[in-house]
Amino acid sequence: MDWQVAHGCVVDPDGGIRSASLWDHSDAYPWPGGDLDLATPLLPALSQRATTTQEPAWTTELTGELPEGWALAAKRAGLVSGAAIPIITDDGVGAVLEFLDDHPIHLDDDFVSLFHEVGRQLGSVVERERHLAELDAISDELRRSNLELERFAYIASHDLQEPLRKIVGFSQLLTRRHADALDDEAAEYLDYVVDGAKRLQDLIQDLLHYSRAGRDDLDLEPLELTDLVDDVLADLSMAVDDAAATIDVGDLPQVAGDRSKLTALLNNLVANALKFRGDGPPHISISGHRAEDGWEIAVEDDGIGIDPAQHERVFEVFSRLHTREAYPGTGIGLAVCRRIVERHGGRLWVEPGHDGGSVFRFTLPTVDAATSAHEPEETTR
Amino acid sequence: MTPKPVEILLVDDDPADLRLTREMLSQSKVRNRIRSAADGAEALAYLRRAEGFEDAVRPDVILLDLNMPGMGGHEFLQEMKTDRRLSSIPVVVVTTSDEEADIAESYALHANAYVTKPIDLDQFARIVRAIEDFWFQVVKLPGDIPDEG
Repeated sequence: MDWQVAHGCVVDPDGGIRSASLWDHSDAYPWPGGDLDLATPLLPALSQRATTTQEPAWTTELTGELPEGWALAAKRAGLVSGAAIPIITDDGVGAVLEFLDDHPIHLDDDFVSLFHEVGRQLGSVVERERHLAELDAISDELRRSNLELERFAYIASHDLQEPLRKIVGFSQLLTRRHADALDDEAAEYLDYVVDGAKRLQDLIQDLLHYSRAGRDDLDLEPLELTDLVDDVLADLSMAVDDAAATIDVGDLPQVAGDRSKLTALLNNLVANALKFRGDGPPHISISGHRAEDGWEIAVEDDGIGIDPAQHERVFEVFSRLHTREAYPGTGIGLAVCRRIVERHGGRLWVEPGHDGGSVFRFTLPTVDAATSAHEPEETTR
Repeated sequence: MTPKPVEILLVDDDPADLRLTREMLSQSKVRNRIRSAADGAEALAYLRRAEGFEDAVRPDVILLDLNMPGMGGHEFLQEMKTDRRLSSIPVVVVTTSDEEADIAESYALHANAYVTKPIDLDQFARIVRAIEDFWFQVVKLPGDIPDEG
């Protein structure tokens, strides 16, 4: 059997069948299909049946099946039989192939099951193509949104700060150079202008840190957490001395991480423990132990603590539980911390401490786990 | 004998920014003369004494903003640091951006220093002072070397 005319149709998710404008016909049978505008199937009833039953359907009485006008063309071309073969994907029939022939055809069981199988195979090809196209669309979308993020970060780091510098700079020039011309009230107002603009700059800077914590590439290496904590404590030594804080550092593991990101994380947690201290000299302990899914590190303080109802809120961007007068800051620190931990494949959460303070806990993968996950080529050497 | 004033070329498109920087430099203990160009192209025309800039004085140091309409700071660096006659003039990038990419790109294009402008005027004054101390007093600049001709 050789088909004189073939026509491809697409089945839409709502079950509607439309022409895909795919035609194929033998040279001996000049067929106007490709030139004529046909939106519907060539064999509407047969294609509908093939779609519903998911089985090939055919006829040897072609005339009644064709749309008006096409019957004549078929008759002139001597076409007498037609068949509709469903292409089956995971979501049902995704397409129908229609064939016309100049011999009366009869499809026997073998032929039907052969076509059925061909339809399935074609269907999986169609499926795969469709998924690839979807993946392509998603990764295009991701690329675009990443570019937009980078653009945003640049705007935040430059364009938004430029006008702020001007507001602050000239307000300060006024108060410095023209103090004589200003009364106390005017000077006070200018102080508020400067204060507001500086605050806005802090917010922009912090948003930028937050966005960077999510988008910068991680530079993973084996790190001794003890060394990182030493660096952080040296960096915070003035605040530690000011608060007369005692800091216990227990045994800490080696982890796989990004040095600057994990340093920022520890710095933030320890600085918070110092900042939100109680009335007496604070006592802070940093410890680690092996957990089910890697290492778990705890930074515990005996400070003012956090209402358990607020335990999740503290990780939101710009969330603050206290006034700026009581505790300065924008409220981004813990949101950045959570991003850093999550980028490393861990979790960060807070629990009430033993002495009324808070314990911040985070998990990090072990060096082995991180190495095998990130550098599979290492194992082949 | 009074030493000749330090010649500074400010490249910045923003009049308010230029003004602030001029204000800060005007308090300098080192005598200086300030010229300005609104973008990279104008700065190059000035440096090359192109038409309209026949009387241009070769600057001892250039303070360069990055974000400018037309020829921006990076393109200016690219152009100027590959010009044998101009490449020896030290360029200090002074900008609001603290994006790592901007910093890396500037040094890759042979900027001599990169400074982020702080928002606070007093901090900015300190930074301008530090630039003066280092570039006008500590280092020897190519122009200081006596001609051996």
